[in-house]
Amino acid sequence: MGPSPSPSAGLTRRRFLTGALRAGALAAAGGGLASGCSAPAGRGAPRVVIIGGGYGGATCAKYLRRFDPGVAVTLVEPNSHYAPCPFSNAVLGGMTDATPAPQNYESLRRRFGIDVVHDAAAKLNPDKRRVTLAGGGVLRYDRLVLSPGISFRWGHIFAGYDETAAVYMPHAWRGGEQVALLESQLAAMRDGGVFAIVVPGLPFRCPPGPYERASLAAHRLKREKPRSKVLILDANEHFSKQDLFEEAWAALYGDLIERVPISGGGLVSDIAPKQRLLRAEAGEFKADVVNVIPFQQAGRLALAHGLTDETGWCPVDHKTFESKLVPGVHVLGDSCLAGTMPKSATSANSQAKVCSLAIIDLLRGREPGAMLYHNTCYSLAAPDYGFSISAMYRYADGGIKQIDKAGGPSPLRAGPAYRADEAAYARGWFAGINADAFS
Amino acid sequence: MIVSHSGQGQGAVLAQRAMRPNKTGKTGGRPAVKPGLAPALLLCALAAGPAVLAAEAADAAHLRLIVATCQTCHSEAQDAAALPKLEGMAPEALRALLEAYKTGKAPATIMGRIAKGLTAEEIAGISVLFGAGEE
Repeated sequence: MGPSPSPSAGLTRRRFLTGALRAGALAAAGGGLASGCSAPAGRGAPRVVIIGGGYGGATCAKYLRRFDPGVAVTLVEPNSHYAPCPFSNAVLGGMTDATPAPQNYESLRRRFGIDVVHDAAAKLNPDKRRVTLAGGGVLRYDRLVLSPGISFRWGHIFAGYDETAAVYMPHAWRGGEQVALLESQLAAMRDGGVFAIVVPGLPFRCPPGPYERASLAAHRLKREKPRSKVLILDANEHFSKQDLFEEAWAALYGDLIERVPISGGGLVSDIAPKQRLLRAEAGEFKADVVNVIPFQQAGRLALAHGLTDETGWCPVDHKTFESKLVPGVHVLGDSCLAGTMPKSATSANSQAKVCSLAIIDLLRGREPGAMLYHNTCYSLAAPDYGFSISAMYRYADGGIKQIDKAGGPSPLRAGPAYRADEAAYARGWFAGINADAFS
Repeated sequence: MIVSHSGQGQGAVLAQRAMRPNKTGKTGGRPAVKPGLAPALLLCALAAGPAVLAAEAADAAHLRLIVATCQTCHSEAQDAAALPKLEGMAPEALRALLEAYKTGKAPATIMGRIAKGLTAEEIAGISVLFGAGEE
């Protein structure tokens, strides 16, 4: 019933297996890139259901099939397209050449034989290993994977900021519509206006995101409305890649960006959305355009089914990403507690690969044994000014541990050529991860 | 000391490109390493007992995970100028480049930081797997 494999994909897999030696070792490891992974798994094949088609879920679906074409995979995602969060700040910065293209699930269907169901999961029944969909369908599984992203803690600390307030003060912390709304407000702002960014306490999705947003907004305002200001009201003292951002701000934007850390009274406690008023410990601020990034917790489906602990996030075994609270259910990406791995697209993508191999081992009666985790995160301070932070992790002492001598941030005072190279690599990373997860 | 990194990242990309085998299997005049010259890691799967085979399989799964990890940026589904795909690179050239990144001998932005997280055995193993992949 599944579509036939495309010629190039079939060739790819055959050539990957040209050495009989290697083929033997890989097959023993749970299948190589054996031809036919676009064909459906046979009757009685173990079945994995994945809920959530972002970077974590899409990657997990693809790599389960790449690593073991004998596993049947169903991906449940309500939307027909995925609006990426990375590079959404480029939209706010007016970088029209870098606007993120929506991703779809056709390639996962066609190349990898994944059954993509555009529906929402309504109810999980882990005892019977079933998922009930909003449309009424029921899916049975041997292993369930949730990659549900984040949900917002509306009104938490930021009193007055609820879902309806997001029309006046967009959060723009999911890709697509909210980003477009904030962009239109910035475009309409008067010269000499104040663009305020309200930052929640950690942990939240994309830790350097608010500061990249401030940077690219400043890049645009400096050009279009040079008397304007960017004001960051921050519930934190320190932030990701702080030295690199502050070096860039001093070099590129002078005093256009002002940040109030929590020690300076940056914690916002009251918000009047229609008036665009913010009350912080430092005083009351009237802004022209306001971006409020709410406090965050695990995705709603995880919250509703007992997968979260008192932190609001999901504790998981770091070898397998299986929930410590609900057996047979794995949780990936932003929702899970993964040691010091930040909540990023690359982290979710990396966790999905570890998880897919572990699930195959569990389904085939083997001890999960392949663990290496990675995060790389690029930020742009301007279109041609990029820097990065990266980390490699191994499994040790019962959890994910960062490898000391590897990773780290870009160097300070690196010079414009280095920053330009990393800005180009940021675009390359984005194209790469989209292809890796969705193509 | 502040060193100028002018063009170095791009230089590394060009170095990678130069080391990719062309249609005749040559790498800038140097013969590409034949896939048959795999490291002992994979070779010893041939004549081993079941316990050793299981261990080799685990090693192979570990290497495939690292290959997949590289493919986050160096996707097999794209071939961007800034981030070349690695499938089809001559194994010895890829191994030498990763070792040079690791020791800081090859100029790099992020690859030096990432390569430091891999062992020599992992670098050798993934170089063979990438070399055996499609071009």
